[in-house]
Amino acid sequence: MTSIFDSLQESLAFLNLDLFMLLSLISLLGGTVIFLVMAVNALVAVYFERKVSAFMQDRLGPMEVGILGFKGGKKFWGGIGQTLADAIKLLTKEDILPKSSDKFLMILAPFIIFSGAFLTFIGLPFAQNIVISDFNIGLFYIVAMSSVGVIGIILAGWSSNNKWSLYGAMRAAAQIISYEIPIGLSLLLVVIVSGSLHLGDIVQWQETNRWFIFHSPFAFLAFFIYFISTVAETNRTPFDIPEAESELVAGWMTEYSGFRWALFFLSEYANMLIVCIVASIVFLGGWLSPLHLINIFPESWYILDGPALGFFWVSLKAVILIFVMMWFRWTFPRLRVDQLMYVCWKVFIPFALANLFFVSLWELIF
Amino acid sequence: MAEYLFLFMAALVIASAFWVVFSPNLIHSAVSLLFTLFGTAGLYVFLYADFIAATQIVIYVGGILVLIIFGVMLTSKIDSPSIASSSANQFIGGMGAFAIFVMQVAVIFNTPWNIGSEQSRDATVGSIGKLLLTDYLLPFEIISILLLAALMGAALLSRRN
Amino acid sequence: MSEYLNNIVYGVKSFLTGMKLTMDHFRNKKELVATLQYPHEKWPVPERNIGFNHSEYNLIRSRLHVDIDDCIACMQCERACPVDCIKIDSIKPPKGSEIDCGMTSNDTQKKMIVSRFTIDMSECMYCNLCVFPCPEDCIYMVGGPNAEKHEIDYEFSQYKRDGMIFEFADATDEAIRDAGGEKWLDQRDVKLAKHNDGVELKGEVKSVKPDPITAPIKTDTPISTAKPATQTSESSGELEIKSFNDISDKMCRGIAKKAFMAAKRGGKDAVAILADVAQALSDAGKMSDEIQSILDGLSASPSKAVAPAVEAGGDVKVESVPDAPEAVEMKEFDIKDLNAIEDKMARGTAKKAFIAAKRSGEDKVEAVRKALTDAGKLDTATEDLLNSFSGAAAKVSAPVEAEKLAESTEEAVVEPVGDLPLFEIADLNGIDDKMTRGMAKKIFMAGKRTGKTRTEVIADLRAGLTEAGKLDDATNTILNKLGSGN
Repeated sequence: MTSIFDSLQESLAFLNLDLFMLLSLISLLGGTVIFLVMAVNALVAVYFERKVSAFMQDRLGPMEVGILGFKGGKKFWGGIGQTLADAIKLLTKEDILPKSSDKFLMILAPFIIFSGAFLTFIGLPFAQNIVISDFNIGLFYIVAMSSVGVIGIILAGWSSNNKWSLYGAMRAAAQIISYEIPIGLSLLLVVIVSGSLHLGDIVQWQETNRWFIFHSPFAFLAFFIYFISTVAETNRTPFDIPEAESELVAGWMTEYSGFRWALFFLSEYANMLIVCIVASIVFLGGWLSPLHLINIFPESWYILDGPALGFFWVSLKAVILIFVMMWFRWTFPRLRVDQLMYVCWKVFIPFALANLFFVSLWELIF
Repeated sequence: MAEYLFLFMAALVIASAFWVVFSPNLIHSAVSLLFTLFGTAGLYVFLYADFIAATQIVIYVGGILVLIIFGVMLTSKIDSPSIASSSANQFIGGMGAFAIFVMQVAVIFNTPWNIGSEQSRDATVGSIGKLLLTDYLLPFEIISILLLAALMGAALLSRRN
Repeated sequence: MSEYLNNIVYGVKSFLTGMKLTMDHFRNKKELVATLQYPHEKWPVPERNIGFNHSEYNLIRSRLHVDIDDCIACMQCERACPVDCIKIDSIKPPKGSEIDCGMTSNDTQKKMIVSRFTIDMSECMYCNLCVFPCPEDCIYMVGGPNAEKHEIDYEFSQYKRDGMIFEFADATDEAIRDAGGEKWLDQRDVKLAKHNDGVELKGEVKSVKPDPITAPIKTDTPISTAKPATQTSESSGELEIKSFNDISDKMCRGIAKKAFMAAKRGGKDAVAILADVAQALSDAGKMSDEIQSILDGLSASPSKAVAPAVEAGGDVKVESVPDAPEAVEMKEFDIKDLNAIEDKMARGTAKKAFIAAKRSGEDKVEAVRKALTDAGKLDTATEDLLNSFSGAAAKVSAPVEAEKLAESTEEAVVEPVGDLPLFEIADLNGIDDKMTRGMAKKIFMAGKRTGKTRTEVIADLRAGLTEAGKLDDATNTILNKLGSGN
């Protein structure tokens, strides 16, 4: 079990620091890496999303802002500096706290949400051995940490002292808690089959056998249940009733502006990245190259799934999944609250339970 | 290093637990419960009980705490940001709490703790699972039935008729 | 249970259908980019006519222009302006001085130097009242009847609010000082300093904001700055004042533009205009190789685009003008006039007949009269009422008919004369690149509107796309195919 945390501890041993200093240093480094990943992810994903939405609506999207005078091509890279400019704008914006809000909680809430996403990254591998800290219970840890954010959402909505915020927060809480169940049940399938909560082991299982999505028809179904439920858990369209612009202004984010709002945004896109990376690791073979799927390539080609390219494969799969999430967003209209609950409790959970049963049978038989 | 971290965690748990009790604002109490629960999870990690720590967060932070906050919001005046808590019967309550405290201290000092050697970070999940399905099957099932009953009761209560 | 499963199956199906739809748009093989990258791309000016007279011109995009060389500072327009948007300052040279203020194109000796002539177009209400009193005909609305004097502006967008104040005076500081305008200059400078202080107080960046009042005076540029920077026009082949913007030297550009305007006013054709410009430049000793090449380039693209159709249409329109005011003065027959009929029944019948006649385009008065007679409701009062309108109606109908005639002739001329009929816009969908397709379609629409033939439009397309560097092999093939009539 190697991880960035451990290897840093080894490689920094020559400094002869005492353990306290060393651990602080390593934590600081790890935290910086995570924060950079989150920030860059938000910048890129927002740009990506704007472009994808534009193309799906026969527009061109941002086309004017460049970086340092570089203004890209005519189409995709046209407004490459737009999100950077937006980020700077957000950070320099006036920070407004409503007069009759609960100021302490209102300040605290974004940080709870942010740390929920932030802590999740600690156990999230970007490739084999590229993980801040390698947990035995990696998958369970990730599921656990992603449920922290909901507290922040409730507090944000409630402390704003605004009816839209409160409605949004209530909806968000109900939705996130509900959809955690199908997510957990779908992931449980993988745990049953691979017999481990450790993400490295899960990928190991997929390397010796096959990608989990092709394990059985039930696992195939479980992937879709997982993926759609994560779309709901990240509050994205068509499950975005917590922030439903047309009814709730911006849901629990209504009263927020400036940096705090940027934190929400950052965590939202970080959550997107997290669930997509988890999906790609758990169901889509993680850092294994897709070449394994079809055994027609000569042996020498397997250099392509060497350790260096693991990061590439994970990100590629995650990016494709993120694209599909955006694709959802610009295709489907928002669900009603009752439809949302119907889909979760009457479709996904029964199917996930049945899946669990049948996969256990499958494992017994085959 | 480890001692400092432990002391920090313990201080966090105790301080936030105090604030849970003494805060005049119910929501603030609930929020500081968040820190108590997190600190407890941290203490579990010190015991190499990763699984229990994560379970603590899933169940208590993700479930119970949300339930508590919901309960506070739904039962009281939801639209006012300062849901105040009042205290009554302080003497009786204090005596009860003191009795429980004494009892717990007695238990702590009278239990023969198995102080193990520093173990590797091996997975505890497997052994927990085995124990749950062998030695502790009956309590496990009883808890499941209890939860099921609670679930059905909630469904029944929330129905109109 | 079966309903439950059917719902799920239906859900998955509609899910996939929706996903496919958006993916088709994402790949976008068939569709256009629906939006326009506005400051870089612009739609052609719509050919609506919203003017004083509907057959006149597109007043919405017109603005007042002053040929400052002809202005004698008589202040008539400033006085006529109901909203005081025209401000003129002039300096009279002291008696006996040798300063020649110039001649107007009507051969009037100018007696003053116009030191300031600003028109605030954000205040102007387009009443045209300043145009009539001008003895030298030097202030006019651009476009329409004055299209040959000055092209129409595309739009009035400016980055600053005072960007709509246009300065027309071109007198230099030296000229004003020579004419004894020291005092005026001082006053202006004080005002300017105050203005700048105010701007600085607001925290605005000074360098970004060229003051339109002072800019021409400061920079010694005779004409060019008086025009808004955003001016564009769609006709590609036509010789315009804009064509000279390629000339890098400011002075030369000014001279070229002045010569151009003079020649254009004289009604010369493109070749003659270019010759005039070249003459003016070499007279000023400013003729360089660079300018020569630019002029050559301009003469190489002769102005085919001056369509005879437009001229023909214009002529017919002008004919109908004299009738129009008369018609407006006469009382028109309106449905409200029927309210004068006292009897309720008769009024109802009359109104019904009126509306029916209006729809079918018949003579309303006759229709009403007939309807009332049929119903036996025609009394003397009503008769008188109807008679009072029948005279007007006859007169009204005349100009209307004339207009109709004009329209029809216009249409006749506009019809393509070419061998093949114009191809469809959908034929351009074969072009792969989104941007190119959009551009091609725009050119096509422009061509279609001006009534060009197939070959002309294809030539336009080729020229436009080559200019934008978008003409690749595939597009070329498509154009070739279209040209051969497939």
